[in-house]
Amino acid sequence: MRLIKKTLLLWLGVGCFAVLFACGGAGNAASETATIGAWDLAFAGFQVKEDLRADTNDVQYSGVSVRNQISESPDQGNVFLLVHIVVEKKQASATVFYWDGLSIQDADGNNYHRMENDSFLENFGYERLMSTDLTLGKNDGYICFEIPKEEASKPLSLCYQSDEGSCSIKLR
Amino acid sequence: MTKQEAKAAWIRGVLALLTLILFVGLAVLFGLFLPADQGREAPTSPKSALTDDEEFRIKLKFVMNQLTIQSETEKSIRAELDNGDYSFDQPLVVVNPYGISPLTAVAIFHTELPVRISVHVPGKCQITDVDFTFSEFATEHVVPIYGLYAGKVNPVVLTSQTKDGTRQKTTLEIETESLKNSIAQIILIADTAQPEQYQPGLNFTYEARAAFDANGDFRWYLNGDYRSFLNDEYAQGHFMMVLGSSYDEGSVIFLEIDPLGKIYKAFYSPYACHHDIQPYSGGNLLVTGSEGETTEDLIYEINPETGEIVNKLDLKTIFARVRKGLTAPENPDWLHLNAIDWVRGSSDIVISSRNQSLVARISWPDGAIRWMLSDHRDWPEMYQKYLLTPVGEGFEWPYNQHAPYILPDQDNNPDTIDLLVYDNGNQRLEMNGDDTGELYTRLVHYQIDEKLMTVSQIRQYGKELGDALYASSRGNVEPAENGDLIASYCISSGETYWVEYREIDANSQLVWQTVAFNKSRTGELLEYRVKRMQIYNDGSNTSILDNDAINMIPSEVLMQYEIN
Repeated sequence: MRLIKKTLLLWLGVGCFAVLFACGGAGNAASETATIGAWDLAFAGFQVKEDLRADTNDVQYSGVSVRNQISESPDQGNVFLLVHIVVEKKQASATVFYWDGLSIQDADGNNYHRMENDSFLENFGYERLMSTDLTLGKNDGYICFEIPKEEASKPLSLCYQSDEGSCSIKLR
Repeated sequence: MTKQEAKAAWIRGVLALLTLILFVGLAVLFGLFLPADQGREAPTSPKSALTDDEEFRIKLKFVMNQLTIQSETEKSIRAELDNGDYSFDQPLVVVNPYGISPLTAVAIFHTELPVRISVHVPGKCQITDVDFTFSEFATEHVVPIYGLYAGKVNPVVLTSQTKDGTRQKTTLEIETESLKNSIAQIILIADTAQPEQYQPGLNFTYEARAAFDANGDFRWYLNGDYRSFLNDEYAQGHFMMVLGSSYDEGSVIFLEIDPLGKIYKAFYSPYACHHDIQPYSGGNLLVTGSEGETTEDLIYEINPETGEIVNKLDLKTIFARVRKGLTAPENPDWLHLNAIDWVRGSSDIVISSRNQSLVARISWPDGAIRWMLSDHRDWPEMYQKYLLTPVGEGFEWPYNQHAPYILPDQDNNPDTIDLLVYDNGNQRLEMNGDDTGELYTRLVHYQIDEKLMTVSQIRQYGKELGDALYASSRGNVEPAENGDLIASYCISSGETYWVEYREIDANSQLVWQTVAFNKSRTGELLEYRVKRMQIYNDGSNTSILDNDAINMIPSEVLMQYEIN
């Protein structure tokens, strides 16, 4: 009986370690950083969304509340890939962080660029990075890609290429 | 091994296997097959189903976060100026430097000699150009650039001029984001009938927190959930933005802000801010607020240098809630104070009550009534002595009016005061027992003889148009520098609203008009006010880094809302 108890305790410990390690792995995906010239690019997580929905409560000047439902959907067969990144300029320099240089690469090597206008993210409570090229400081927020649904569950990478260099960060 | 030992070993093995399967299964389920960030909530919640306190906390947090972003941004700009090698020909251009004003930028550079800088943002036609020359000569420049078009590469011309008059030009190509969704939803259809008469400037709107040009193109807007109170008389032409939950009651934060989105001052009030903020004597501000169980019947005076509320007046103690013909006396919004204007040269103010159809001059802060412009019916006897007597032809009372504006002296008579009023006219028929007439909204110039206690109607625009411009709610009118009137109308049909903006000249001829609605099925768009202003003004300068934000939000308020 004591042996059984010992075995149970041992496996409980191993199990807890496995759970902690596995969940921590998901969180640790949030800390990969690459340096390209004056810029650091850090991946801080991502979300896959079939659509985005929210209720809003807009108060008019008269104090009257107007409730609205808002939603945003990708094209049929696609999903939104919301990527949380931190782009930081580490030294004074004329170099710019170009959004055209950033893409998501799927398992088949296809590249997807940031949506031309992902300002809708703000309507759903996401801090969004502006879509004009970055020239300054620390920029922490979400950007949105639209990718085929079947690719969203396969390996994906965040790639950046510029005159100063290139990098690839695995999302999973 | 005994039979019992063999059984125990077998059980141990099965348990070990089950445990392994369970934990590996859990690990795989939670760790490998779910996207890394899936299930995590968005960093901030949408506005649904929040209590007033929760909503105010989000806004307070936004302000504090924005102050941090601003400080970090300015440190980065300083580092670029000190360590980078940016010249007039090759400046560093930062679009939307503070993150909340997407159609602005700054150009950062040094020059060998002190120069002053001019900015030219070409419009689609001459009256939509944005031009400005900064007054200071300097060698270090952080040049604010305003009035960019959205979603395009803007060619912006900078001109430098030395003290001896030598000029140099450079053209920057500044790319901006597409309009954010809520602004992109707005359709503006504009027509300028008299381009030479158009009062130069952009049309700043209240509810959209945006400015559009004569062609109906957006040239500025601010991200964030504020109310905008735009007034070119604030310190250095800055804007006043207010953040609150319901606005007609409870806590609010005031932000003095420039078009770049740079915050200069932040201060707090527990008395709400619903319709108006006006400059008052000594640089203080008068605010329409609320206190207690009724709403929109308080005025308070705040010192923007200290954030201190120095005076307040509860209008329940001045005007009796007895007029049955208008809003029911038991209605908490019995007064609906919607405007204040300071009578320059005195300590008095003029106020407008929509729900009592009353414009009155009172002393500040004690509230002694000087006169009342209001249909006499239903006012108790004690108020009769304050009611103005109409004289002259064509006179009509204002009903449910907005935006009284004291005009410059028109007749060199110190006994008269000239007043522009936006007369919505909702209860005109009801008050006059007219069952068949048509409702209309007027822009009216009244002249009040304060000595004789009479009022005459000098001019009106709108009655002749019938219900075409009838605005049952909202609306304003202001005189432009060139003497034209610029007005907004929130017009309804059935249950939907759209907005019409008009500029009319001294002969009541149309100079410019824009119709605004949105892209939804009903096209509904609501707007309260429009103000024609130049986006650059005398306060615009190229040394924005010299001013740090002054945060006067009390620490106890931050503690109450658990903001660090």
